[in-house]
Amino acid sequence: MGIDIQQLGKSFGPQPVLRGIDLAIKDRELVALLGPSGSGKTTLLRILAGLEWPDSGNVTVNGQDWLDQPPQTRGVGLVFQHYALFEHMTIAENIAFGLRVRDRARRPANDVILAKVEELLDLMELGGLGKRYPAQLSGGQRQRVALARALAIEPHVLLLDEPFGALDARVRRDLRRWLRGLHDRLGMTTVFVTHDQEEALEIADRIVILNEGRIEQEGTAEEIYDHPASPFVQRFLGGVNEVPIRLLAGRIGVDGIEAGVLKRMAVANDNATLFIRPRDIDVAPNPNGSATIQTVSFLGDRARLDLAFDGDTTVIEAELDRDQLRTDKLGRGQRVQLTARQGRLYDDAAL
Amino acid sequence: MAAPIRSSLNGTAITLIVIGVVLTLLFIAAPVIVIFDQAFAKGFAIYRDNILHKETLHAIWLTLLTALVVLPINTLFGLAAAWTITKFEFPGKRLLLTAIDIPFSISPIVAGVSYLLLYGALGLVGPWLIEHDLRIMFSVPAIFLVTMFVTSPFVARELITLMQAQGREREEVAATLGASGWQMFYRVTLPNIKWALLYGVILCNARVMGEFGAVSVVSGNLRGQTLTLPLQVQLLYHDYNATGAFAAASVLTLLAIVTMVLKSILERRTEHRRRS
Repeated sequence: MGIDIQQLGKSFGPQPVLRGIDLAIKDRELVALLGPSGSGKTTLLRILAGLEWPDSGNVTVNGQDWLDQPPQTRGVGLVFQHYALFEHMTIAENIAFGLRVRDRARRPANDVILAKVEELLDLMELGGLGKRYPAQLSGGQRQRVALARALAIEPHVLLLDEPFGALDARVRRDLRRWLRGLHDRLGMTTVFVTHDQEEALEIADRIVILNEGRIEQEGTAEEIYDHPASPFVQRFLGGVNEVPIRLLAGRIGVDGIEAGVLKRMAVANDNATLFIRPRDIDVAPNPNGSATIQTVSFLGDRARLDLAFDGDTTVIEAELDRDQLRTDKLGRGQRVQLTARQGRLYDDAAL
Repeated sequence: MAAPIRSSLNGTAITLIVIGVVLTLLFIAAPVIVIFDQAFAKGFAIYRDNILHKETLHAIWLTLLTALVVLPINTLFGLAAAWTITKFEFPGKRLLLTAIDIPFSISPIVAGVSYLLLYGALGLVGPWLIEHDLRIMFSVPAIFLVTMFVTSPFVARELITLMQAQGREREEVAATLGASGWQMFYRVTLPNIKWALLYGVILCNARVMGEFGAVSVVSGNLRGQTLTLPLQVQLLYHDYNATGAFAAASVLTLLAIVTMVLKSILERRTEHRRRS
């Protein structure tokens, strides 16, 4: 089901949390709402769930006004970070809840409910756990119960609020890939909130980056990673060097870094900052180089170098293959020359 | 790291434990023993006669009746207040939270006097009530009213603390799954708060039965009519009937002990559930 959000505004007291959100979510799309805490992403999700109402704007789903409807009739499946399972019920009772609370006319027969529960337990790889209580399950299992409970009512829209936030790294990775597969198989529209950019980039069809109640950028993972629309997006995606620059006849000059490869860039102001990702910096051993390797950190196949310039407190991070580390015999204290392969320039007034 | 706990039982610990035990015996156990010792001072037959005395029996009955009337009302009030405060956002919420605590923070005597000033013959609504032949002060309804006032925060406070800690995500999920307000309360909220609710009711009951100050102001002290057990104890004592007073007091103490036992069973039960 497509969701059409128009000019959504919401304040908590004097504090605005959403300032005119326009967003169209397509049928069967998996959309990530990504942003730091306080960006309004959770409030937006709660408005879609019917747990919060906006001060202004519209939410239409298949041409129907959703703001007219209470959460009970919207047909959304909701999953919270901390599962919010009903602790006093067994796993099977948790999953059956949405079917049991229906009025007699719409409630399936008992054996139909039980069959549905079994089917969901299998789908969630929770077979045989139906008689247990939530307290007896691991975090990953509990989150799958929460998902099964949401799916039991066959929702048109699945809403997930930081669904993997409380799980440890490995379970989190497994579960999000599995969620992607589930989304594709069941053909729902899924919206999930996260502050973890890696998670959003990995599984979402489209990412919506929110900042202070506004949409900063939306697009596919490639679009956002390759063409960040603002310094905020680039910073939020993480691990970027910010280097003050000089302009030399339209060419960019960076103290200590060869930046000749970078295209000419028009900057209105003399004060500008270059954003370079650590992987976009070449490091070459050079006794006359301007930088010194301060630390070498292990990142599995790759290594991160902290580089310092003489008489300067700026530290630049570069990332390279550990193979290169070995062939070029790079190590602590060694002098090197840095070359920027690509970067993005921002006027300091925009920062 | 895994030093056995026993080794920490040094001189200081033993001294502190002894002080604790002695103080408990002196300040808590001794008075309770005195009550029963005095109550039975003239033998069991006299004790039985004292308890079965018409006025004392009436006081016991009135105390139980007060509990029977006040507890359900304050339980409902506590549930409604806690539900409203913890599950909804609305203007004036803080004010309501403060208002709920008022009976805790003012002296019961003051509560009694303020009811007297409100409903008494010279009070604000008293004259109107008298005109319409409604007598509230110095009668049983007055006892119900002030007791209700004084004990109203118990259930609410107990529940608010727990329900704030539990948050409202379970109810929110239940709503998206189609549960109505009543189903949400009955199937999701209530099972999660039932032990705290019972605990609050027990504490409230203890206070209802023992309430003296506020009740003594508004009861009018009519023998065999408006005396609850605490008032009856005082009356007998002032009549120089010490044995009778202690006999009545022993009933109150027994009620208190039953309450304590129930309370500790509940505490063990909730603790057990929390650990599992």
